[in-house]
Amino acid sequence: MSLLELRHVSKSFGSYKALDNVSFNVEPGRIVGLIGPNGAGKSTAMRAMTGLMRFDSGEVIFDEQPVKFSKTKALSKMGNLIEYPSIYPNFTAEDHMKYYAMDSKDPEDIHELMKLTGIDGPNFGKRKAKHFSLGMKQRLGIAIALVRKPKLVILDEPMNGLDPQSVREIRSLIQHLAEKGIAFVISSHLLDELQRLADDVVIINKGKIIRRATMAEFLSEDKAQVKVKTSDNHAMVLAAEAAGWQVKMSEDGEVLITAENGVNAQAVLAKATEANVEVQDIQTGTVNLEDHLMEVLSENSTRA
Amino acid sequence: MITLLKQEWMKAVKQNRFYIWALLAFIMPIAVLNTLIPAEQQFYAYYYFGGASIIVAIAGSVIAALTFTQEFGYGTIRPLLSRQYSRFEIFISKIVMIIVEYVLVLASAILGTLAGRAIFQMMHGTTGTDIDWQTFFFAQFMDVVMTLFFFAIVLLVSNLAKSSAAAVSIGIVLSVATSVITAITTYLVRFWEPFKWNPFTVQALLSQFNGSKMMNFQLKMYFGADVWVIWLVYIAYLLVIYALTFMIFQRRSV
Repeated sequence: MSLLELRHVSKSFGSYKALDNVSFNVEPGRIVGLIGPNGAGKSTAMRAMTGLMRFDSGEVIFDEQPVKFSKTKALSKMGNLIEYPSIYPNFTAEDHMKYYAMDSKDPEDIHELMKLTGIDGPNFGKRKAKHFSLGMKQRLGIAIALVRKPKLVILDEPMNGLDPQSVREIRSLIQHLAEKGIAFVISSHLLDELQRLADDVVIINKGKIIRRATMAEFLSEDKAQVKVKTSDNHAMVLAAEAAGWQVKMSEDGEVLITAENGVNAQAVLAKATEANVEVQDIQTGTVNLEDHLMEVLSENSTRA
Repeated sequence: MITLLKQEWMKAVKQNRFYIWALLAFIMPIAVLNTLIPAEQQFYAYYYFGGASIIVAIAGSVIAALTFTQEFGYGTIRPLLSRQYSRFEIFISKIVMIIVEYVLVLASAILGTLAGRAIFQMMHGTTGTDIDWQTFFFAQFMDVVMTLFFFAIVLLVSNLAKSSAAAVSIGIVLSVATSVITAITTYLVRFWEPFKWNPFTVQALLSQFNGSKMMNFQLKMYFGADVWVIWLVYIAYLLVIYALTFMIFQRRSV
């Protein structure tokens, strides 16, 4: 049984379809990366999941209960940080934790959580939240999302404003909590970070889910890429195309070769030899999440 | 509901520091009654807390206006609404806390007035310092009842505007300009008699209610109905405005 399930959720603002028949699941203990360009519908989907927004059709089920606009008991077991940390300027970090912990009969140990999220140091102490930096507010927002011992945490751009050290600490914390069974839905523009963190990927564009897969599956779709520098790029391109490979020219004047069924350096060298092309340099690699996402988005917009 | 009330109280104390209003409302009558008000005017000054009534009114408008708008302003409306509580529970907890804060500021002004009076009596004797306790406390009770209307308007505006500045401004304007509004609405009654039942006129005239036969007679003459009917209309207006405010709050996506 999924912890969270979106079933055919649609939402329009006037003629603009913000969510179009969106369906996906989140299993306990999984970290789901919700990815898409700006305005793709990520935040709208997150608002639908948290009962903050009415949607036109479909349903959202969390912990076996439908998430309603006004009242859903199960929301006591969901934490969220959507768009920006929600902070009362005159509260201290500890005040925030006490305030949000009141919602739960069995909250996290506040001081332990403050330590884990790094908001217990001298920088925080008795200082009011209005004096916090963006990174400090972000850490506090994450701590708030975790204080009620949630089963699911929804984080929209959680790494915003964090320095590399903090990013690493928050990543470790999320992974540690996921191992304990807490599920996460995370959106982030830091795709390298998501690649390291997420177990599953949901790609959304123009309000539609265009790909759902585990991160491993998604990345395995990455075609191996061979980058060659030759004495005659034109001849190399013709030879590669004749072999049925996809060819692009890089900005540095290299030939980038990929293929649906994979391609390797030996095969490229063999083709170059057949075409009497001298290979000056050859490198192999895979497309990363960012490149692959761009490819998926561009395929999607071509189809549309 | 208890949790929501505790959370609202925490915000009232730590975030909005309503006690500063209460402190001002306590100090001002002590200072004013003992420095600016002569013995022959002491009796009248008690009814407006030696000038602190304006502090109580402005405190009421600011407290009411900020209750919803600051949640939108700080973005805390999202965690507030994405919890296990219904929007009705959240709405009611906020209304209850506004009334509690207002009553505490009012009580502070009353205590300040009594303290100011006691100090004045010690320094200048008791001449001119008599209070008709029944009239005094009835006036304060009526103040709370009439302020419910004022809160309703401010809350309606704050839920429509979502802007703290707009809601606070309208609240403050309303708190000091009700007499102007009443004058305008009363003037308009000349052109269309049923307009006398408009909420501002009903509230303004009922606010003078003191239970005396003379006042009952005047109200009856003006409205052509028994006093209980006027009270019923006033309560109906309150319910309609609060219901409308809740409907706006209930429907709002954030």
